[in-house]
Amino acid sequence: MARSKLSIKTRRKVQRGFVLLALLLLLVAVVAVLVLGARVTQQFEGRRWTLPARVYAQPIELYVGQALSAARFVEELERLGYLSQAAPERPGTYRRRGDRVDLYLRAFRYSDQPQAARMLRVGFSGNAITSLVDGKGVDVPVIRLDPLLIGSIFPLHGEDRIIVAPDEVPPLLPAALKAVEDRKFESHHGVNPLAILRAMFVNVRAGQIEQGGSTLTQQLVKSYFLDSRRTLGRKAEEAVMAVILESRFEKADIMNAYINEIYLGQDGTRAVHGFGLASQFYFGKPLAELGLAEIATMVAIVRGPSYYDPRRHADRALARRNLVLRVLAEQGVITEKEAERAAAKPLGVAEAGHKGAVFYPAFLDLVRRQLRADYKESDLTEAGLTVFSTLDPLLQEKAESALASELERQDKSARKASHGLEGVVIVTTPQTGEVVAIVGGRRASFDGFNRALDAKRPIGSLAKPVVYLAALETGRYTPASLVHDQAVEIKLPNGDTWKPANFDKEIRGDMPAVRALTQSLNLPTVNLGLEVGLKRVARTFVQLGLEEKPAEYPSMLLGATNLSPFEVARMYNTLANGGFRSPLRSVRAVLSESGKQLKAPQLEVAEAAPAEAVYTIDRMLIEVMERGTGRPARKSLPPGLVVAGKTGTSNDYRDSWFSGFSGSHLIVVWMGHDDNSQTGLTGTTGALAAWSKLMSSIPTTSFDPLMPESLENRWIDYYSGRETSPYCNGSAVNMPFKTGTPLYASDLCPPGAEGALETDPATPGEEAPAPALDAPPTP
Amino acid sequence: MRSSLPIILTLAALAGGCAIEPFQKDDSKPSVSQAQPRQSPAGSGPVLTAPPPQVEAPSPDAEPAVEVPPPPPPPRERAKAPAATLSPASKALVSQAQAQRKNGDLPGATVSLDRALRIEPNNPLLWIEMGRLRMDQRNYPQAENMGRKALAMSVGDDRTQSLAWQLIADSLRARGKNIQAQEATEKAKALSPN
Repeated sequence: MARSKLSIKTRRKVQRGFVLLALLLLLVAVVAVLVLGARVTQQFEGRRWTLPARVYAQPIELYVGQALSAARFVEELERLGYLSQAAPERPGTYRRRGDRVDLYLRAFRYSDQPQAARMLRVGFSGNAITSLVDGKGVDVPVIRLDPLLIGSIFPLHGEDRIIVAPDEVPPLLPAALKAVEDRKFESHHGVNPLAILRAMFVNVRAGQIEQGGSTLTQQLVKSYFLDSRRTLGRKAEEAVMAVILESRFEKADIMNAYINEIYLGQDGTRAVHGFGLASQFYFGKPLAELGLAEIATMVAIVRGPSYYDPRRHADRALARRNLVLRVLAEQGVITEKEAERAAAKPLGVAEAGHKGAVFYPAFLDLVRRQLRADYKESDLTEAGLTVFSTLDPLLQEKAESALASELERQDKSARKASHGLEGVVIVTTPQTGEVVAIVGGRRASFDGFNRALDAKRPIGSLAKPVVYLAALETGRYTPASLVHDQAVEIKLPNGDTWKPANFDKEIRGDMPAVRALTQSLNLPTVNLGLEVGLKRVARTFVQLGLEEKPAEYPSMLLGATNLSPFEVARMYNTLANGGFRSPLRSVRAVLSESGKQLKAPQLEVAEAAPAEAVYTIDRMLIEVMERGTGRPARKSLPPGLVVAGKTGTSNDYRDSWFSGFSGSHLIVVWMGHDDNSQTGLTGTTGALAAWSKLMSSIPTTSFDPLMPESLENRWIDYYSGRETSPYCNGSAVNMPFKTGTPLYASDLCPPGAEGALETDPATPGEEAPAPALDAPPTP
Repeated sequence: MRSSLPIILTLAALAGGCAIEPFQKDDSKPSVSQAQPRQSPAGSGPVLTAPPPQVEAPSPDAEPAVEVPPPPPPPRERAKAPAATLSPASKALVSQAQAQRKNGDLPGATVSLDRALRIEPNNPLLWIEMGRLRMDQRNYPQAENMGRKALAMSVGDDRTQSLAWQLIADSLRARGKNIQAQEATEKAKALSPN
């Protein structure tokens, strides 16, 4: 504003004008302060409402008899960030002495009840827990180990944080923040003019830590309105807001907000905010358990989370951490000795792949989709829910490594030009229908397309058990029923002719159903499916858990239907669960921020198919593993472990599938290319290898369901379907039949024959063909 | 109860005997004699001969390897199943769930039983407990389904089967299906050891 010389006459007028202008400016300033004040207050008070849902893995249950070795238990404790100590005296510490592990269990708020921190003494013998007592030696029947935090449901490119209450913050952290970032924090009113001046004029002296001009309060305000413009107006606005905040709130509240708000690192698209999450992100344990060196590292990171990233720039981070330690000693926050000791320690940052908040994208995507049935997206990303999921971190890890090593092996095999072969693994616990692991591809990163849920591919021979189940359900077929391996031609509505063939183009004539399924022959399956009727087969697909009825084309019988690995898991889970269908769950319970249990998917079962038919199919699927296309798995499976399963290969080797189960786990594996090009892999050479690697590396049990009362076991000849003795040339197979089912007896080795029966292969006895399928002879 | 013990023991011994040599039992049955040779359909493959070839051409998913059938597994006959019992861990969780149900904390009881089922998924008693919880939640169809699951898991265990049928009867009655409920109750009574 230009100023001219004013005459005395006009001075009064101008003075009055000046006063008016000043009043106007004051009014503007007051309004501005009010507006800014309202904004910052709203941010400050409303901040706690924008919390992403936190998702936890299954807690490990500790109880006498649990199949867990001391070594594996310690592995789990390390994964959870428990610290090995000579004498566990605070939560989050443990000590192993041979077959005994003492630990100080952390407190945890479960959805049903809170668990207080407490001492536990766990005794092991071999692969099992043999004793479990508390600090006073009193038996504990069962207790949960605090679960692993596996991630959060945050908006894309959003902030993630774990809110910590003041009593969860080690007192050293605020003290260190004040000493390093804002020494006058306790006395200033939001801004520290001296500090600003010093920052402007007195630049850093060598060796002394530079003090930024901004107070903690100003940093907090800046973080609230993420805006990197460094204009003077912006700075003034921040300063005003800081002063307003200080006038309205206690210092302690501002410090707590700072600790929960400030940006401390980047994890892919996830912005890591607050010391609570950063502690998990960098050290894999709760903030309360951090030691001096770790706190100093975090305070070092505050100044530049990218520049001082302890994973990518360890040297810089280490140097600055030691600088922080020196300042703390100078300020008298810690002693010189403590600083020296801490400075001698390594950074101790958890491996990126092994951090507390490991990001399991495919699984978390399922959690999010399943929760969307009951919750709004904003509830999930903002309402601070705690989600208790079904993920089993150990199984997930094993599944990831089994798939990775098999894909790598395929890459190396010179057999084909393997470009970017991909794979999916899904693991469920069949009885309860819980999804315990999902691997969505060879990379953990994930860009919206979740192969496990979204990649729909032809399932090939995985459809065959459905065809045989549909046949068994009619009550007219048994494992010994003859099916016809003979050519078939079908005129399609569009005028084309469908002419399926067996893999080897061979034709073998009639054979019992058990052999046709075990060896995954196409023609007998098609002939059987046509006999039973496409309608009925399609219905059986739906009974097993398919949400949409497959198109009733004959090619459906050979698995032309496109299904996702998750849909396959749902269907096979029903087979693994004795014919009871369960919705596959990834969530067990949801807790509101205030601690109220909210809606979550419940365990449900429904009888999907007759128990007798499913039991019979399951026994045939055991034969697949014993002598059929699943046989190569035997090389790696523990001897004596009974499993059942089926291979699947789609046309031109585009998709390689294996779906199979033990008594306690169903595993579905898919391998293929994203562009649907050929892989050169069959279900056996591709997916089965990963499946058996995984199945043999996890603690599991034999598949051994109870036989329904109306059935009995009979020995039949694998090739003719005739009743025989178990000692016949290795061709006898034990199969369930409805009690009293009439069967033809084998000539060469009739039932009751004892010992190995010598037959001369040169002069085979003439055995008459067995009877027609559905017309058993009457005795 | 005391007088029935020898009978149970005898039955168990008999069943055990059957489990050892199932094919001898078959021996006593009149085995079906040779039937007339069936006309093989025109255009079909070669007629079956015995003994059949041991070497099979690879099937669609098979490795191109010689198929060697393993020796037959032992017979899968079973003796009468022993009455189901809860492990100490499950027992603690079930009492916790029962206390939670009594206090009206049904979500809490759900968590406790979920935990127990993870420890012993094959224990029919836990499925019956879950069914009882579903009754409290007025989810009667699921209560029945839990009972049916328990039935499938307790073949030969009369005491547990009786409990499962009782649960099914209660669930049917709650839905006004009185005739079926009565039938289920009869089954429960017939199987009850008392």
